[in-house]
Amino acid sequence: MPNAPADLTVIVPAYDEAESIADTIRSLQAQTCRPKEILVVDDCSTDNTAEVARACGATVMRPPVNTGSKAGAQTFALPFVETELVMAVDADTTLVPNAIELLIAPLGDPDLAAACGSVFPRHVKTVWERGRYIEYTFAFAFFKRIQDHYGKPMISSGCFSAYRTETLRRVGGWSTRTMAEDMDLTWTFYQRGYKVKFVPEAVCHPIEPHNLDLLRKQLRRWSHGFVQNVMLHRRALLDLGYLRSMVALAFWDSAVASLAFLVLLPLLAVLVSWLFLLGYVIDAPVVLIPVLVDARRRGELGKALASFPCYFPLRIANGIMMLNALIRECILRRPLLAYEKGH
Amino acid sequence: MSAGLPGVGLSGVFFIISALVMVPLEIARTVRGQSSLARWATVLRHLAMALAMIVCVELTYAGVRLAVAALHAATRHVSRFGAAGAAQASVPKPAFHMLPVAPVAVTLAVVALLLVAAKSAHLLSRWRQARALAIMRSCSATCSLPSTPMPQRASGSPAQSEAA
Repeated sequence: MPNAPADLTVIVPAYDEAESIADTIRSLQAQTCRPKEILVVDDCSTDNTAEVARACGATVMRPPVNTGSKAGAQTFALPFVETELVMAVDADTTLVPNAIELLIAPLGDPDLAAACGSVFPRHVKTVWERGRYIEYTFAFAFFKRIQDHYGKPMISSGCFSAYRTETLRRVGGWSTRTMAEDMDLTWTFYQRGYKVKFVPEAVCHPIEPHNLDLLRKQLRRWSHGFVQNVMLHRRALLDLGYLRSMVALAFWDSAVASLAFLVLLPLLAVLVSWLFLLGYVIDAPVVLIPVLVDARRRGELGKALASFPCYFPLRIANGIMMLNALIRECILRRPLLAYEKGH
Repeated sequence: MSAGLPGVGLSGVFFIISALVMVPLEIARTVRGQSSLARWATVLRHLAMALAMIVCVELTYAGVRLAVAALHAATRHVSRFGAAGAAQASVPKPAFHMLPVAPVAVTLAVVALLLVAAKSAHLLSRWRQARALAIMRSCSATCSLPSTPMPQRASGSPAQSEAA
């Protein structure tokens, strides 16, 4: 028998999500710990997103004009939230049945501003989805757990996170000043002295980009968002020990690893020895071990092994987009300002 | 590395080191009575993974070296005796190679350098703040202006301090 509704409102920002939003709402309604209200922000969709959401039993609100970003749509709904906790879930994301129950459990601590869960792609078919499956498994099985152990998860993922409503309002909700509102919000929480918790057992399944065009749009947003956040928070980050170290190394990797992947290794392979091509795969065991450990636990060993080769083209794409973002944001001073939807 | 960043990179090295450092930190917590079985389970899980990663990188490198040495030997044999002789090529048994020290040392040095640079930037920023406050104080004293309260770092929990 399902428990009583939690004192929780789920905000689902949606723009042209008629195909996927019904699954999202149904997965929210099927939770062992149901939310009090599901608020769908129909951001002036051109399809019948609002009708589908309403038919599923969600409360639908529509801003007078398109807010231009996911953060804008979420912040539009924030004043209407009347519960102690609020959760943001993407309109193409489904949750495992006990995800909300697990995620909100630690939020009794008033110093905890946010809790985030694990993310695994819902469909794992194309090269890009398979690459992302490996990337997420690696990140959530190893990196994010270590970050959590040190009390500093780098990002409370925007597609599935819960917050204390009052704390979220105090920091001004989701800001539209960068392309990665989740990273911006997480780092803002840390600067104000709040904590963020990673709950690995709370799992969600978003739809990941299945083709290169959608992937390009998503990576463009993420890479520009990362650079924008580093530039925006650079002074404040200095006071946050472990986060400062993580960001310094991630920024170095985003510039140097991209250059090494795209320029240095091919040049050395041509000019010196083809053996330098091994540089593309020499770290494969580092990725493979946490992936296989976690995949075995979830009974997905075959899927992980079959998907593993796809991780390598994905990180080439990551490198290209990251280098592009660094050049545009830091050298050409042409920041990405328009939010381009791509899952 | 997090999703969207290219490669494992220095972040990967940093997290492996973080996993190794968890052990002494957790011992210290245990001595202070602040640890738990759940925390130790996490620590040991990550320690095992980090050690397995290091061993696997070593083995991969050694495997690649063996394969390359065997390939070179076979190629030399083909050039001397022709394609027919390749099958009978007696490949000399190459030595087992550990990961060379120099690149590992350089990688660790770059990680350390970046961490020290970030910490130095932190100390420099604090020194500048302190100097700016001192200048403001001396200005307000010499100009006999009413002194403004100095910004204080919030103590206690953020919820308490914001409520206050």
